[in-house]
Amino acid sequence: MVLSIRRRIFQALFLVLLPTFTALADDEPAITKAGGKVTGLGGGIAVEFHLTARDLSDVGLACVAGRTDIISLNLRDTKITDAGLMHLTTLSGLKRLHLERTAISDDGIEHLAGLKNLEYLNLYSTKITDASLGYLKELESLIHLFIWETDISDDGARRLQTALPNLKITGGVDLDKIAAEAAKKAKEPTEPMVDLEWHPAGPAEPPVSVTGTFTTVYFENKRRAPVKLFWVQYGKGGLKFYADIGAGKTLKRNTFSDATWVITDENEQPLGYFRSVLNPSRAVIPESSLNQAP
Amino acid sequence: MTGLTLPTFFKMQAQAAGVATKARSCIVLYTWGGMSHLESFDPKPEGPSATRGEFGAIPTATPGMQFCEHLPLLAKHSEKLAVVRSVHHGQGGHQGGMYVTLTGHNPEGGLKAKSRKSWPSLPAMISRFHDPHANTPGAVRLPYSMYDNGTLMAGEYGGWLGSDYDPILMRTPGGEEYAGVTRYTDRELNLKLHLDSGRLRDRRALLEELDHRLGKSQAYDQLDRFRQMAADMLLGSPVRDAYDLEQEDPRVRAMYGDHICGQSLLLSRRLIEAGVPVVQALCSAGDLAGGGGDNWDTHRGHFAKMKDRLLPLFDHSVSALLTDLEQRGLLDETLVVFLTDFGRTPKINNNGGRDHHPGVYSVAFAGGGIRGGQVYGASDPSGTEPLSGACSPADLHATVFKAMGIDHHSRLTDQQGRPFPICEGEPLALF
Repeated sequence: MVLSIRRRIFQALFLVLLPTFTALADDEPAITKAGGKVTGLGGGIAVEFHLTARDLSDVGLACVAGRTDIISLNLRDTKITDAGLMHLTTLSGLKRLHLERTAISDDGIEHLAGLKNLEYLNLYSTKITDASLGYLKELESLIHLFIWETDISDDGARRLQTALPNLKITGGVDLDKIAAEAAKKAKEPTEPMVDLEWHPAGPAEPPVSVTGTFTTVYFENKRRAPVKLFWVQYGKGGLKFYADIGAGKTLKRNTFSDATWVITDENEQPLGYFRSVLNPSRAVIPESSLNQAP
Repeated sequence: MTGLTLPTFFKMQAQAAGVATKARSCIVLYTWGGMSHLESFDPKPEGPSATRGEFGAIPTATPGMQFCEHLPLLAKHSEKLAVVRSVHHGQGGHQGGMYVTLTGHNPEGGLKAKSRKSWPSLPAMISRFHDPHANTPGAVRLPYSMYDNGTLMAGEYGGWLGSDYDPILMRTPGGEEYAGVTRYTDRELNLKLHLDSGRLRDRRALLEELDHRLGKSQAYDQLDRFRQMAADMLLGSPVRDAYDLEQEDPRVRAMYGDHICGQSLLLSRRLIEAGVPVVQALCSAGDLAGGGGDNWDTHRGHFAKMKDRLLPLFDHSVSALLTDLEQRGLLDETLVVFLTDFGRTPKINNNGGRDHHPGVYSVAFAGGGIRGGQVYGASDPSGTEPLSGACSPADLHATVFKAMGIDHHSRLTDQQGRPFPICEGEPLALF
């Protein structure tokens, strides 16, 4: 409670001081009213709608018309269309323009042809095609163009590059190709499953476990009776009980490579052991072992 | 204005200093456990045979720059990367190494996770300077907290900035988990948004769950903040949409790979697109657990583990992130920072592993106005100590601050109003 009162005092103080700090925004009533965020940017302003006004329409965009002080404009993810770009024809100071992920197409690009200072143009994920190339060639200051996920052809991009040798065109990856490769790879097992060797119980002690790399063992009990699973500890090699595996059952056990797993019968009489390896593996406990009568 | 101690005031002051913001957002990729510099960004194919290791080096897209042979995809992105091969500090343990890396300061006395005496993490400090948009957290961590043998580590929280600046932990909703141990605590807000079940729409149910998770012992301010977060998420925050990876093009999801590492990096991109200023993604299992599991603490079986599990996954996921940021035009306004606890010893131990080595190691930067295709500093022929350009985690912080348009001489105040300079280092000439 005390805290919330303190907060309220702070908030009140902040509101009193707010005009001092946000003078810039107050000078832009039309843009801020349309949901735009305005910040100072060396000799002009940057205007952004992409995080604050995704509902921005062509009508709302009229607030920027004639503003030659706008250096950077971000319209990503807004609801503007080709008709809205008409408001940009007068932005002669514009150097950076984000139109990605909007509904614009070739018809709108015509409005941009006069932006002689434009250096950065982002058009990824729009409906533009090679029909826009004629207008894009007019943008003689353009340094960086983004056309991933558009219908501009490889040949079209090459022609644009020839016309504007200083332009960097970022075309991005072919997603269909990547998805096809990923689907193909998913079908191949990444690490082949191997069968672990069964060491029947004998006079020799099973080796102690040594920590290695994470792996997985799938135990399969082929006996007609349940067995017990023990892990041989590091160092002195004591046995630690982990699980019962019922007759005919399978158990998935995460472990490390070079671990020793001892199998006993229900009375904890040893039957044999497995030693884990780096690959995921199958450890098949045989139907009968040597010390059992057939 | 005398006596004004509003955090906002300091934000304003920092902005008024006239530093032009270059990067608008930051993604911190953290390889928990200590990534070997010798098997990543600083291979030594001509090094002494006792320390050289089993892998070769491959050329990158940048003439003269070589990477480990198991980073073939990242090698194609070298023109975006500034590799720093001469970082060093004096912390030989994971807790100390992570703390100095993420806070820029050596630990003093005993460390306890979430202690308000600790220094704030780099993401926490960045979030203090960059106003997030409405309904958006200032900093997010994915997908786990850092643990060592079951103990939660100090260093990735808000520290003396207070709980308002603890980066929010989110669990990545997709992808195969890292092998090994990963822990979650009830003390943290694990935003498990049950987007399909529609539970999210039931505001009361989520608030009740939060109450249950936080318990009665928590400070009210923390509870208030989490309540607010929950309400924001419910009321259609852009973060909620960003978190729902089902909304992403399935082909893009495939590009990042069906693993929690790739999906966390995809989520990082979606979060910065939604206006989150800084995201830290852990590229490792959450608990080092004595060197078992998929983390970078490779004391045993170093080469097999690096080749088969750690490097291919890292190579694929990080390359996908860089490709995606570039093709969306986000790379110039997004700073990507690769950090780790420390490097690994040149000497290979009796278990075929490499041990902790803070004497020299490598980090990297991409995007955010950093000039790619360059190597800063060098280690000696065996990779034991810096040969040139020796620098500290504090210098890396100063570099990040500069890229983010934050004056690295700025001061921040703790909860008692005491001012602290945020950084004791100087920016590296990477711009």
